[in-house]
Parts: sequence; C-alpha cells; structure tokens
Amino acid sequence: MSNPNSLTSTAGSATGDSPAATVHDAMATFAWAQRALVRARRVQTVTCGGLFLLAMVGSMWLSEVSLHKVVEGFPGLMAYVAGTLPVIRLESMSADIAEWYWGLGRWLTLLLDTLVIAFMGTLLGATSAVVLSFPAAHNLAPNIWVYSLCRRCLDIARTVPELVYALMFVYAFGLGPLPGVLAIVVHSLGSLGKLFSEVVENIDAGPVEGIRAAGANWWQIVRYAVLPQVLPNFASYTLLRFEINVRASSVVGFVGAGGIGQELYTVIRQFLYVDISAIVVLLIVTVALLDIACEQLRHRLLGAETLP
Amino acid sequence: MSPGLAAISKTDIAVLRRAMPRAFGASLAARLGLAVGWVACAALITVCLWRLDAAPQRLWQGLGKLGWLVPLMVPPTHGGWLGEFSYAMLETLAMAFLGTCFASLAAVPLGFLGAKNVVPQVLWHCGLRRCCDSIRGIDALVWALMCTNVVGLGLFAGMGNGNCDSLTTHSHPRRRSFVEPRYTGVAKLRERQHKSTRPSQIWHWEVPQTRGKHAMSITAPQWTGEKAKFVDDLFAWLSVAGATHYEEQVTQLQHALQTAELARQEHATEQDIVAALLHDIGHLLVDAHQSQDDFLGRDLQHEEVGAQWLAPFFPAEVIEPVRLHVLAKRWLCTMDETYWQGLSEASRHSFLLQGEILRQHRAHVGMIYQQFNLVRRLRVLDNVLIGRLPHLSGMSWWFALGHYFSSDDRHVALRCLEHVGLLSRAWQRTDTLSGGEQQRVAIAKVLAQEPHVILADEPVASLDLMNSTLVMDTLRRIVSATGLTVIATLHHVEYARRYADRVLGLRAGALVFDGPPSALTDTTLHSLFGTSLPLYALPEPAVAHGIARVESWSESL
Repeated sequence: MSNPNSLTSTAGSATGDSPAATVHDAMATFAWAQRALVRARRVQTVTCGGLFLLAMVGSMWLSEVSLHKVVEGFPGLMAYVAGTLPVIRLESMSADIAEWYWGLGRWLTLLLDTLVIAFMGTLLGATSAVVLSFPAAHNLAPNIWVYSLCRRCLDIARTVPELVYALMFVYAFGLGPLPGVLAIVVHSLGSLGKLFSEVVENIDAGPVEGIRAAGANWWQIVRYAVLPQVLPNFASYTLLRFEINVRASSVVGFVGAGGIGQELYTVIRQFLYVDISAIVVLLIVTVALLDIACEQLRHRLLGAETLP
Repeated sequence: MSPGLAAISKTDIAVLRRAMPRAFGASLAARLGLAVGWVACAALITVCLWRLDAAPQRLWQGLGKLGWLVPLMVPPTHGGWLGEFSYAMLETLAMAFLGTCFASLAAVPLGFLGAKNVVPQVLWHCGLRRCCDSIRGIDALVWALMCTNVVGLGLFAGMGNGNCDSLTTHSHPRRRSFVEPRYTGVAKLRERQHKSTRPSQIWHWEVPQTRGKHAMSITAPQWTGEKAKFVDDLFAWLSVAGATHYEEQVTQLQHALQTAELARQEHATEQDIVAALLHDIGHLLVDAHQSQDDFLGRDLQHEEVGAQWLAPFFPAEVIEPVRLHVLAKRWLCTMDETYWQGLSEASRHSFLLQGEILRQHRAHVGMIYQQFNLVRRLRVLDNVLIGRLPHLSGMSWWFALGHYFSSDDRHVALRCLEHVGLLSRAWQRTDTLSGGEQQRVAIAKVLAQEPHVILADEPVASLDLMNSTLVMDTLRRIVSATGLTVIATLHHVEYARRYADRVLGLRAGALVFDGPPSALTDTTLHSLFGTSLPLYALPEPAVAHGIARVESWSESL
C-alpha cells in the first residue's frame, strides 16, 4: 500500500532551500554529538569490562577453581547422592517407607521447633525492624546522628552471620531453641531494617508534605502519611524473610540452638546416608508448602486496597 | 466552628448511619472477630514462648553473660594474624563473587520462565518454582557439607551453592491488569477506497502473499447485465453454494440469513442489512481453492476477496462493512473478554492464525494514549525508533533485538522528532521531559510508524493549557501536511470546535451529534448535554510564546 506520509520518505523536501538546509544542519550536528558520546561510552564500557574480567580471574585463582576437580569429583557426588536414596521395593512399599522414616515422630517434633524458631524470629525481627527503619530512612530521620546510628546498628546486625550469633547466644543462654530465635531476630532485624528503610525512602513525598502542612508532629506523619503507603511492601518482605528464616533455622541447630539442624548435622557427620535423604526431603516439602502459602498471602496483601 | 456551616441535625445523622454504617465504627461482629483474632495471636505467641522455654529469668541471666562476653571482644586485636585474616577475607569475597555471578547468570532466564505473566502454563512455571524451592530450602551450609565430600575441603565446595535466593525474587509475578472496554458495538474506520479493477470475462484476483504463501488466482463467475437480474442470480448462487458446512454449526447460508436478521432487528439501514447478508461471501469464493478440511486455517483475507468481488455491483456503504468486518471482530475481541469467550472454536482458531495480519493492521493504525505509554527509562530517540519496529524484516529484525537500527530508520526517527520540535532532546531519558514533551514524543513515535490513520485517546487530558494547545497544534499540522486522518476523543468541547473538521458527539453509547464544529453552538450543546458549559477562551497563537515557534515550523514544510 502506498504511503501517504510524505515526511518519512527519504526523498528531499520540495520546498525552498533554507528550511531544508537548517534541518540538515541540525541533523548533522546531532549525528556528530552522538558519535562523540558513543566514543566516550565505549571507553567506559571497556574499562568496566576489563575490571570485571580481572575480578573474575582473580577470584577463580583464589578459590582454586579447577574443572579437573569437578570432573574428578563428579562420580563421587553421584555415588553420594545414590547412597542417600532409600531402597523402596514395589511389593513392600509401605514397610520400606516406614523404614526410611523410622524417626518421623521425632523429626516432626524437631521440624515444629524449627518452624517455631523461624516464626518467632521473623515476628520479633520484623517488629523491631519496623521501629528502626523509620529513623534509618533518609527522608524521615530527625537528624543526621540518629540516621547514622540506626544505619550502623542495622549493618552490624546484618553482616555477622546467624551462626556466629547463635554460637554466642548458645554460650550465654544455654542449649535449646531460645538462642536460635535470638540469633534469627538479630539477623532479620538487620536485613529487614535495610529493606524497610529503602521502601520508606521510595515513598511518594506528596502525602508527607500534606500532613506536615496540617501541623502534625513526626510520629503522626509516620502513622498517617508513611505507614499506609509502605505496609503492603513491609508485609511482602516479611513473608519473604520468613521463608529464608525457615532455612536459616534449620542450620542454627548445627551449633546446638535447637530444631532439626542438630539431627541433620549428626546424620551427615555419621554417614547415615538414608537418614540424610529423609530429613532433606522433609525440609524441601515444608519449604515448598510454605512458599505456596506465602505466595498466596503476598498476592492478597499487594492487591489489598485499604489497610487498617 | 465557622459560622457559615450549618449544624447537622439528628435526623441527618440517622440517615447517614443507615446509609454507611461502617463510617460510624465497626459493627459488633467485626469487633468481636478482631478481638478473637488478637486473642488467638497472643495464644500462639504464648505457646511458642513456652516451647522456647523463654522464661524471663533465663533471659536475664543470659544477658548478664553476654554483658561479660562482649567487653572481652573489645578492643579487637588481631594478635599477629592480620595477614592470614586478610587472605581468608579475600577468599570469602572471591567465593561470594563467583557464586553470585554464576547463579545470577542462570537465574535470569529462569526468572522469566518462572513468571506467571510470561509463561502462563501452570505446570511449567509452578514446577520450576518448586524445583527452585528444593534447591533453596536446603541451607548453603548443608550443601557445603555434602560438597566437601565431593571436591574435598576448600573454597570450591563453598561456592558451589551460589545465591539461590536470586532465583525466586526475579520471578515475582505482577497482578494482571484488565483493560476496561471503552467502545461498545462495532468500531468503524474510515479507510481509503481501493480502486477496483474491472476484468472482462473471467475475474481473476491475486491473493496477496500472506506468510510466504504463493499468490493464487481465483476464478469466480462474472455477471454482466441488469442489476436486478444480478441480484436474483447472486442470491440463487448463494443458496446453492452456501449450503456447505464447515466446522461451525450452521451452513454459510444460514449464517448469512441469521446475521441479516440480527441487523434488521437492530433497525439497521437497508445497506447494512445487505452487507450483513453478504459479509462472508468471500468464504464461498475461496472455498473451491482450499482443501476440504482446513477451511478456516488459511488466512486468505476472505473479506478482501468478497469486498473486491462485490465492488462493481454495490455502493460503498455495503462494501465497507464487508471489508472491515473481520477487523471489527478482532477489535471487539481485544476489548471485550466475553466476546472472545462467545466465539466458536473454529473462529478462535482462525483468529489466532491470523495474528500476523492483526499485527500488520496495528502497524497501520497509530495510537496516541492519554498516559503517553512510552518506556520511561529509554531515551527519546529509542522511543521513537520503537515506531519503526513493524517495518523491520529479515536480519534487521534480529539486529533490532540487539538495539541496532539501520541508518535509514534512524533518519526517519530523527525527522519525526524534528517535525514535533524535539530534536534537541533526542538523547535525553524520556522521564526527564515534561508531560507535553512526552506526548509529542509519542506523536513522533506514531509518525515513525507511517500509519494510515491516527487514533488519539484523550491526548491532552493529562496536560496543562499551554501543552494541550501545543499538542493539538502539532496534530493539526500533521493532518494538513500529510493528509492523514486523525480521530481523537476529547472531553473539552473547545478543542473539538477549534481543531476538528467533523465532530461526533457520544452520550451513553449513542451518537447524538454528527456535523461540522460550526454547528456545535452553545444552544446545541445545551440541548445535547442538558447543562450549560462554562466558556473560556484559548490563547491566540500570536500571544503564546511556545505556539509561535510551532507556527513558524509549519510554514517550513
């Protein structure tokens, strides 16, 4: 079909000389400027790419990465995984599965402990993170000292691994799930606090200005201008953190802080292969179910129109 | 209380309380429910605390011990091990860096595959997420323990797990948004008239090449003679040839008669009824040249065939609906979910196969939106180049995926930008422009598409007075310079009066006004809309600064 749009045809314009010449000049200038910009950009890309490659090569040398080792060790991995699989015969299926899950009662109790640790840890961690995130947000902090202090506290809480905290707390509070909860609380406080403060920094400034103009003080601004905007995101991140914390709770038991970690550590170290697969499968199923449930909850929260 | 406001009486309060009870406080049931919820939460927490054996005594003693331990750690001293610590820190960093790099590379495609709005098949994206769960559910420490059995002690084992959390956070599905249908009924387009060729004896029609198929000629009976006899012969032929079934439940003849009956019930004009009767005649014409089974699978544009074959005998009011009925059906499908559900399986199948034609139709119709619908993170030039995408084919299509456009396309885009007066902003990010400028970028994008008609959905509703005048002037200039048709929906009557050649007034889905803007007087408006509208004057071109520049460009074209 013929094109009625004359301005996109590449034939020259039919009108007089000077308008076409000015158009041509403008485009020539633009083309030159674009080439200069592209050249500058290319230098930047090459430099960054070179640095990245350097970091990659350095890391590989430091980590003693060697394809040889992987290829050599691969049959070992397969043999290990094959060893963990239970023997399930079709004719005696129920008996074999009962044999595989011989300690199901005990493991389920320990798994429940793990879930309790994760739940309480996330709950307390999220509540304290909410409290700390507002002073740690650039747009809401009353002054620079409060802001820096809160930020540094959150950093310290976040960077130290949970296991290290768990070790310290096991020494202080004794064995059992309580030090595990405290370790999870401290670590969740750090990561959730950082995520929450970033959410708070990204809010729409309009409502804040509107409420400030009406004469509210800092606490009222937070409650009425900020909180309605950020609660769905807070809830979503908290649910995400809960999933992560279930995984973290399963390993704080390595240092004696309760839950199924202790059992898992024992069976790995004592080469009770079949028990390893039993506990791992149990953990995977739990995490999968929790993921589905949290996904549904998160959808509802993100789609919720009004929040209390 | 300010003296101007009247006090509210008790009866008013009672009426309001009946109308919106929740504004006066939650109902008893809701409050009870909330109380029960809080009690349940408190009970859960208490049970957990009991399970954790979290007695205050224990906490106090523990804090005391921590208070003894932590001061021992301060001040930190390395005791001569700084070198070893630093090297170990470097090894940790190397592990983290490599693990994150490799896992992220793998996670990017998996993130797309696991997203609900990219891969709608439940089994696929759900299964993928469950696989990710199983990898993620086991802590890195456990994997490391197992990997040390494989590759021995050392860092390589620790890196092996990578950052599996990235696999899940990429594929967070967004809420699906539903576009409300704005139009009811058939959308009518004004298309330019094709010149119909009059063959002599046997009428040949070259089928356009669609998706690589070869051109095919269709021989069809050519009637000469009086119109009245032609109509009798036509309907006789229709009743014989139309008695074929394909995958639908009715024959062609029954379908034609049903459609004509529907048109008659809706009190359509006589020409519309005839068009309804003859709209699917193209199917009969191409029938002889199809294999018997996959009748509807061939996208031979039966509406074009039918329209061209009927063109010598019927007026334009009959031919146009026949030519456009498939396009109208497609628009109805995109705008009305229930219409799509109500179609038969065969119709849906034929529509899906004709997706390529729909895409081409879309390329011929330029859309301008109220909210601009530009990609805000891209540069202005990139947004205009998006308009060139339907014109790419072959290797240039692949190059465009890598953000490489030919110089011809770039020149076209730059000329379009120059035409709307934004050449100096071509390299800026689109969200740094003002609203009016963004709308003009959208217009430039539409121009780069080389459309046949431009549809503007409330183009100036989000803009202030100065920018609205600028945008409408740009559109008007495009019409006078290129002869394109622009159809715009507007809520401001003054813009319609000032810029339009023809105004259509719609109220509650019915057409209430059709005429030139000079006929749109205040009395007409008052009678149409039942209210008196406030009048305000638009700034004259000589006065407004921004518009003076636009006017000088229009002289240069």
